[in-house]
Amino acid sequence: MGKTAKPRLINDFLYGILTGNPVLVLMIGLCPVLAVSTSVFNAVGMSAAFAFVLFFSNLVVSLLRKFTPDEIRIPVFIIVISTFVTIIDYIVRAYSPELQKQLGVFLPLIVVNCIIIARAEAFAYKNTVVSSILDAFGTSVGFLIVMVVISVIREFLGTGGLSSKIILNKPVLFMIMPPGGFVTIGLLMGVLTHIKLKKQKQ
Amino acid sequence: MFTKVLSYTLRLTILCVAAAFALAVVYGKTEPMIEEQTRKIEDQAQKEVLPAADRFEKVNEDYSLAFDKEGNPAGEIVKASRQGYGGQIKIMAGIDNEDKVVGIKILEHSETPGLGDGIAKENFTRQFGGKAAPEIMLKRDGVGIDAITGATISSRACVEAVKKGLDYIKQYGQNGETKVNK
Repeated sequence: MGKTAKPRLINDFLYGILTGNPVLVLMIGLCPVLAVSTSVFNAVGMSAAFAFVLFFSNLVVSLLRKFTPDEIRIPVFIIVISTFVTIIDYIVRAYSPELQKQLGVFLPLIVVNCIIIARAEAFAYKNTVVSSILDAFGTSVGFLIVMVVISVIREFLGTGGLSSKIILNKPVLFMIMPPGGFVTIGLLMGVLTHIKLKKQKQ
Repeated sequence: MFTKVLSYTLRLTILCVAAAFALAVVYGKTEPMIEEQTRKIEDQAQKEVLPAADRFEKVNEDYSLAFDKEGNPAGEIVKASRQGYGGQIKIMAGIDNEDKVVGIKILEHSETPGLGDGIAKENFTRQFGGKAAPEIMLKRDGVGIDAITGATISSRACVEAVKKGLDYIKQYGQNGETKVNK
């Protein structure tokens, strides 16, 4: 601890946003990203549910580090993750049936979201509780930013406006279908790589 | 070796029990709210599909009788579902005393966003108002309802669900009897 501990914690937080952004850099967990990023409301709702599950899964997995032998760590992760996914499913059903209707099957499917199990396996299982919480926050913020950017682009081009305010007369229906999601993610990755290469040259 | 297996089993058991306990607590807390939400949505929908009615009397899960302020029969409410493009489409229809559709509402669907989900929008559902059973079909099959461009399967499934509801009333509807009784 001491002086060197601080930058490390900041790094734990920033990793998920920049260098280890789950969607644009690691390219994992793309299925819910494609399916749910058709409108900003859905994207934010999905990100919130995702953040809830990731926070508690990282927290509990890092708390149970000493309790969990290597051989049974995967079943332990699965039990922890599925418990919190079920909890958030009940909560969303109880408080926002509208959101539940929109997210549909992708809410219970967070249970197999590889970002969450990847963070449990690669980070929370090997790090302290504080680091794991920061990692969960960072990854959630990274996920949220990407989801919002993608959904703004797709909702705007696909429906002709944002939150049913129509600006474009001829919406590009394609953008709201799954291929539109792939194209948007691809373009964002291209932009990111372009920026990275430019920085490297300098 | 044996103690290892025993220890793993014990650890997983403890974890599962803890998880089950947590879920039971959350379920107990949210279940009444979830039921309340579903009921609220359906109550709201009943009033929307049959504005003339004031009181509803449930006959069974999918069928209710409606009465106006004076207690006279004001029509019937029927629920029906049909396989759409992306899953089950569940509709609620309000039927007046002449067996004409007053209004319909989509209770549940998982049609493609931006295409098939148009069936849940006012522009599509209001077409059903004032139509009797023979007119409940897509225009391309005869007369009646304009399908949503690019979403014929969803539109047709919705039409067929409404038809199913009307068929139910034709077979089991109690509207005639209630009229006599009151």
